[in-house]
Amino acid sequence: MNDEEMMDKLKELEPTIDAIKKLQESGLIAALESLGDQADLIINYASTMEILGTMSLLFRLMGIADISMGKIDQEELIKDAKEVEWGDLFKMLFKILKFIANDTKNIPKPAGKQKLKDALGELRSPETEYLIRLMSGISSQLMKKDD
Amino acid sequence: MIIMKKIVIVGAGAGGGLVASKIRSKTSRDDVEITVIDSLGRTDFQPSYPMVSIGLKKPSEIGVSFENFSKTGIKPLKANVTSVDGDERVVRTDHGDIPYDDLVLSPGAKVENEKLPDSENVGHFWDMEHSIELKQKLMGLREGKIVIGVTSSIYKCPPVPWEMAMLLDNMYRNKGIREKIEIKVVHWAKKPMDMFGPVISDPVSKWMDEAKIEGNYGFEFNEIDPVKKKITSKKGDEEDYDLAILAPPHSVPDFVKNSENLLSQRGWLDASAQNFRPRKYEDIYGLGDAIAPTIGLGMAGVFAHFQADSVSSLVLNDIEGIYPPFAYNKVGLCASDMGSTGWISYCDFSAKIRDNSVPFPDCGVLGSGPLFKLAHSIYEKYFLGAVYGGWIR
Repeated sequence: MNDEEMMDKLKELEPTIDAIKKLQESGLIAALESLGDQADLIINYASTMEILGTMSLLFRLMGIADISMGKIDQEELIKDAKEVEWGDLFKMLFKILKFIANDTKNIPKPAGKQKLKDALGELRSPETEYLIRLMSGISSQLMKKDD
Repeated sequence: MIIMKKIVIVGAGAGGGLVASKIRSKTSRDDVEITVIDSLGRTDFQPSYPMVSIGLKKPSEIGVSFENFSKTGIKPLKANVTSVDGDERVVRTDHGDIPYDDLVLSPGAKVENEKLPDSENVGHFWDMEHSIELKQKLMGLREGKIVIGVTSSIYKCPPVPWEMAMLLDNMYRNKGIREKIEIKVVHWAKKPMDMFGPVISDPVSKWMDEAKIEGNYGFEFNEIDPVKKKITSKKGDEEDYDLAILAPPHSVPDFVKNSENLLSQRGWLDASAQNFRPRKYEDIYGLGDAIAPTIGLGMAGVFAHFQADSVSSLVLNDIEGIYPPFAYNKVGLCASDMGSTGWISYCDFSAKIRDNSVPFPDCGVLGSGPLFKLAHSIYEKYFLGAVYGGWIR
């Protein structure tokens, strides 16, 4: 390549050089440089069974997401999702997770038919009352007719 | 006076090439002299040989002259290694003796082409020259039976017979003559890619069925008759062909075979999976295909790649004393381009390396589909760029 060809090539690259200069001034090039220092090990670092297994699962879930999302009224989903009190929901979820982690193993499996007196006792407990109200609320929503 | 350290690397492929470039990038040319000895004088991205043989890639796209090493301050020496004198720290070649402080041996496996008959109906894609020859044979075939097989239990890239079968299926479909071409894989495995367990074998078996690629499994190659166009198994089963694509026997390079101190009990280059040194020497490292049977692995560039990460760190530690050794990652990734689709699979070989009686590694499939074809091409460019410090075009 002679000098003239080189100058022509540089002129063609002027917008690109300007863009790179901006990236350099923003500090992004310096950040990329630090990445470049370790770039030869990126594949090695990324090749763990945990990362690859997770990626594999995500790719498989993408297929299911594609099928299910096609059936969803996305506008309704977004509208309803915005109405959710996410803080309360997560508090509830954490309580359930805590229970699953610590207490499910302590629940005795029924050995046979419960005595009527015991059954009535459990039925009248505040826990059962709360559960019935919760289920009743969900059931009432499910019974509403679709618009 | 500072004495310049001499690092000699035998082999410019996935193992040796990457070790050379990694050490060069971390050391000064004034302090460390790096010499790469290679009989071919070239680095090929070997997983793309099948693509050369079906015309999807040009040889110049997947092979780089190792003269490009000069641009990064590495001395290339095209020569055949005749022996290694570990006591005198000298590599003897047909172009003279090369002294070393640290020696890295990544000579690959010797592909014994002479053990296959020189016939227009027999070919293979386990080196560049034969891949180019095979292209002519495949392009000339308009009808008949193609048999893809292996002549030994150990060969480079264990999944490649099935990958090639899929590539051929796609090629002949695109040509509109698939129904006139029978494609059959003849292999010692009990079913497609059986050596990787059901996670890999089951989907591949399904693809083989869907593509109507037949298989003759449990077939341990015994001999080939190029006149009758027939291959025979050790049990006496016969398989006829119009074109036989057979992996030639692979063996340990002669200079290793002739050196008792470099030979493992399994008859390959001796190296430990922990520090990559042979039992006898502390300043010699082995990696890649030549050590694969020793440590209980198959032969594949991805193993050499991760071994290169570790070996280069160990050599740097020898030179600089403080460089932290990089732990060997025993996970292997395989990015396959199978013509109409691609797939990425991965396996953790840790348990298999610890105990060779473990039947197969812990594997998974990242995904499959046309997008995954890109991974093969991206890795090809990444690999060649990484070996030559970006000095490729």
